[in-house]
Amino acid sequence: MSQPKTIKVLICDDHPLVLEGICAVLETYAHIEVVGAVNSARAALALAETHQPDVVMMDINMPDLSGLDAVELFRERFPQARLLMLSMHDSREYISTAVMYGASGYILKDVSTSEIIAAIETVAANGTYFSSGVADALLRNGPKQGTPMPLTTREQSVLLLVARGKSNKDVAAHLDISVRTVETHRKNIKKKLGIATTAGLTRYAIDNGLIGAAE
Amino acid sequence: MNLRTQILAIAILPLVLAILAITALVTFQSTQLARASISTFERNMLRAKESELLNLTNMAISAINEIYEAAGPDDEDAKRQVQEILSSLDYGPDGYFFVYDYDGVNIVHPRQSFRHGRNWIDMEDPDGNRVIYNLIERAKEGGGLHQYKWEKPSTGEIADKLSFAVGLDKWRWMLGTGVYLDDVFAQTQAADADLRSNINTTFITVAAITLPLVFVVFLASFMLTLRERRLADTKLKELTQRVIDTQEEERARIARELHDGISQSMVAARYALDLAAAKVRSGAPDAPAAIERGAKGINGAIREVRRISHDLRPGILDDLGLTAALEALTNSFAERTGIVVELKSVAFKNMLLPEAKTALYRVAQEALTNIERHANATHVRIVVTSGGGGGAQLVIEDDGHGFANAEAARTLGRTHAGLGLRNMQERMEHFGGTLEVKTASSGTLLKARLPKSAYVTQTSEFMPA
Repeated sequence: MSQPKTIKVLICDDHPLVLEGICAVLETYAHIEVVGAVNSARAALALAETHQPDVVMMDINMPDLSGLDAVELFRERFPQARLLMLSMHDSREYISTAVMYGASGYILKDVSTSEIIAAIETVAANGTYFSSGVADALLRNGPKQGTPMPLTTREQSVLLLVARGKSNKDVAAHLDISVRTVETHRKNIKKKLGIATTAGLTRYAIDNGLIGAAE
Repeated sequence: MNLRTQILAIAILPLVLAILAITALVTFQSTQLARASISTFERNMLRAKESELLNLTNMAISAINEIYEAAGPDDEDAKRQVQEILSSLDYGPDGYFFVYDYDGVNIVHPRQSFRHGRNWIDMEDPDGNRVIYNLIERAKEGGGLHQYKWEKPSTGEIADKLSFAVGLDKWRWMLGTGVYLDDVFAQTQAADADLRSNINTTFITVAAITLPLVFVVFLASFMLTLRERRLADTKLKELTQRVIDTQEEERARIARELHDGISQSMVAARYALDLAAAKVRSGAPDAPAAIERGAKGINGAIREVRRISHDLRPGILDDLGLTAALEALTNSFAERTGIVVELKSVAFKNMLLPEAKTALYRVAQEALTNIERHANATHVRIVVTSGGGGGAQLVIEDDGHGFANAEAARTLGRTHAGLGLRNMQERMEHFGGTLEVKTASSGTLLKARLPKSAYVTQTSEFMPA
């Protein structure tokens, strides 16, 4: 399966041996160009500015900034980049969380080389890819009832600021994102919690101990 | 001064003070009483002596009365007769009558004849008392008592003396007799000495009671301290042993898993790769199959490592938070046991301190282990709430048969390999929280609460941008 256009790939993993191994594998494929191999999410974000990667392969467990939070930041700053999680964790919670944060694919580190290539090609073509073990995990358990959809880190930050009485503009300035992005987050928060009004959001944040009533 | 010494001082000091106060009071009162009775005794003795003197004087008067009445003022013959009678009147070694004329010249003194015929009007006793002059004055006044010091004939020593003097005015004579008071004073002095020795006895008695008492208090507190320390030591030893046991068990388990699982997979992979190498060298065509078998073995080892690592510390707790970790836990629990688990949790994460989060997770894990092993339940309900004022709460409810009988409770608390109820409680108490367990034949309800202090201080910086 070859593609006419080269896929620019950025790899982010804090284990040097894994990083080396994956680079070595990908370099043998002509239509894939590794534009960067870094060991922290911050470095990946910095590098993405200059290289505009098509696909970012991201580990979850990393010191400093976690891979999941990095996914959310990538989605905000580089919407054109597709995120492919590369992880040792095969539990459903990791996978569904990654999807919620905006990942397009999720593969386990122990999959075969050909599967890695297939995953890169799929997400680059705007598809979603889950490696076989991951798909099993997703199928094993249906969605949960009772627990509200968990908020992402960004959504929780936005809710906290909104509950403290900040306007969309203030929130945007505070988090260094666009007002539109803030609006999107607010919409998602309201949908997830099933709350329609700002007052309701504030009430919810107080009731659940996110902020103290005295604040 | 440490706390123990302070407590001891607080216990002993009031005791000693109270005993001292009581002793002082008792001593003061008994002294007062004794002094009063001594002075009463002295007064009574003196009064008895006075009436005795009066009687003696009356007796002497009546002995000489007939002659005196009949005689004239210058009847020397009658005077001589009276002198003889009075000289011979006698009661005991120190009892006698004396006569001086109003000028102070001695006329009768049966014990001290050297006084006879000489004037003693200016004689003074050791206290400066003009003895004869005063006696004559009493006599002139019609009779009266006078106390002074005089040489006691029987002993030759100066002693207190009380005398009664009457006047024979016709002859200008003073007739007197006296008693020595040294026996009275000796008795009061003896009573005084008694009193002093009584006080001494009281003090010795009090000391004899107090000292053993203080000693007993000391001893008791010392024993208590010793016992407490021994108890604490025993507890510490038990705890240490428990920690060591748990650690050893855990190590043994990990060693077993490493050896039985990963080692075997790796060994198999190595054989497969060795085989592949041999095949490549000999140019055999089926080398790729052997290599794939090796890769499969390595993948098995990777899965094993992932499972063991997850068992040791669920990374999901740190990466995705308590809710996700509980979801993973209940999912695998439901899969393994077939027990239906309903989980209701909060939409937030990163609200609890990492250690507090771990504690709640371990409580849930332990509760589920207990339910699986003992409860025989079909449904479990786990609810996590986070309240504005009340902190975090984890409620785990099952419809099993509970562990109402003491046997099961003991088993849960101590012996089985897991953490046990006691450890759950310790974990909660460490954060100032509580663990509440209600068990009945219709199910068990476990409530773990953490206070607000177990929360992270919330800032908007959930995610550094």
